[in-house]
Amino acid sequence: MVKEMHIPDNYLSPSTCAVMGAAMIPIWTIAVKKVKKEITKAKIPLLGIGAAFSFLLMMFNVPIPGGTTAHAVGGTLLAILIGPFSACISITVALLIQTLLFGDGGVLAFGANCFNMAFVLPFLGYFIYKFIKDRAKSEKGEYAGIILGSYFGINVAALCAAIEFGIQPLLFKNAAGQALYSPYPLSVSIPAMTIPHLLVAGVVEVVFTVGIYSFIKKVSPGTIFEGAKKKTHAIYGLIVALICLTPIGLLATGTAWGEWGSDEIKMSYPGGMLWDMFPKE
Amino acid sequence: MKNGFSLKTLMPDYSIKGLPDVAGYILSAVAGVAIALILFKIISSLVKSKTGSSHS
Repeated sequence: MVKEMHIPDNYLSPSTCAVMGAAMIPIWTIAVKKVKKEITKAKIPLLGIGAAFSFLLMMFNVPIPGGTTAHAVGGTLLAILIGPFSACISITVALLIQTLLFGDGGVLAFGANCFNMAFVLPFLGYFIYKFIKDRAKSEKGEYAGIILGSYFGINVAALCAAIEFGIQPLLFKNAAGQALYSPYPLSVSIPAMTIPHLLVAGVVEVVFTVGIYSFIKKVSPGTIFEGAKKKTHAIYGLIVALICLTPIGLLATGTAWGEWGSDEIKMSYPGGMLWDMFPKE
Repeated sequence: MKNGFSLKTLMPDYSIKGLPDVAGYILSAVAGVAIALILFKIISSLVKSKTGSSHS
């Protein structure tokens, strides 16, 4: 079983991968500079906690009608807790672990996956959150910001992945006109990626974001950076609880649209109907 | 696509050979979390503390 929104290798052309990777280099450079400047030595381990949360949330696969799965990322949550630049680095590390250790997401597609999930998601989610929170100036307003930020953050990230898939058959064909990489045009990839995210994954992202944010706020009324011992214990407790609950993610069988293994791609291809595009296990 | 690039990983698809799915999945979660936490601990220990701040 492979997970949603992690683009595997050989679905994007090497040139697309290179462009996405090149786009990430200045973003990573600025993020590292910002974190170096703004975060003290003692607080760097919080980025590890952020990476752990994101890694775990991505393990909770939820079933989507049609036989695929989707999952949360926690991008907006991390951006709110540790800032968008730190969130970018934390999610990048979570994605790196998934790629290298678990084969989840391609090595060549790493830049594209980071662009969608470690850049677009946390920065857009944080921008929406901050925009609403600064204007509403109440607890209700803050939660409205969290809900809308996390919902739109993950949905726009999914749309980015859909566009990266969808431009492949437009740009890369062999002499016979057959697609060299992902064969699905934008008219297929956009609904196939965005509908499950609008209906399911977006809601799961909101639930996790609000739930974990309120939990951390409850155990420590200050910011996450004002580290009291008691609070860190509660956060580690939450991580252990999430680890124990991860097998729930196994209940959702099937492979996410856009995350097929190499054995699954062929049988899902020539359908034409959207329904046929979803590999059934 | 058959001849495409593919990386052989240690725990493909969050499973460990010979272990039931649930055990493999939980161990994958433990491994991922441990690597994330340890990596940033190491980075933190490598970073020089800013002048004036206390060493802990």
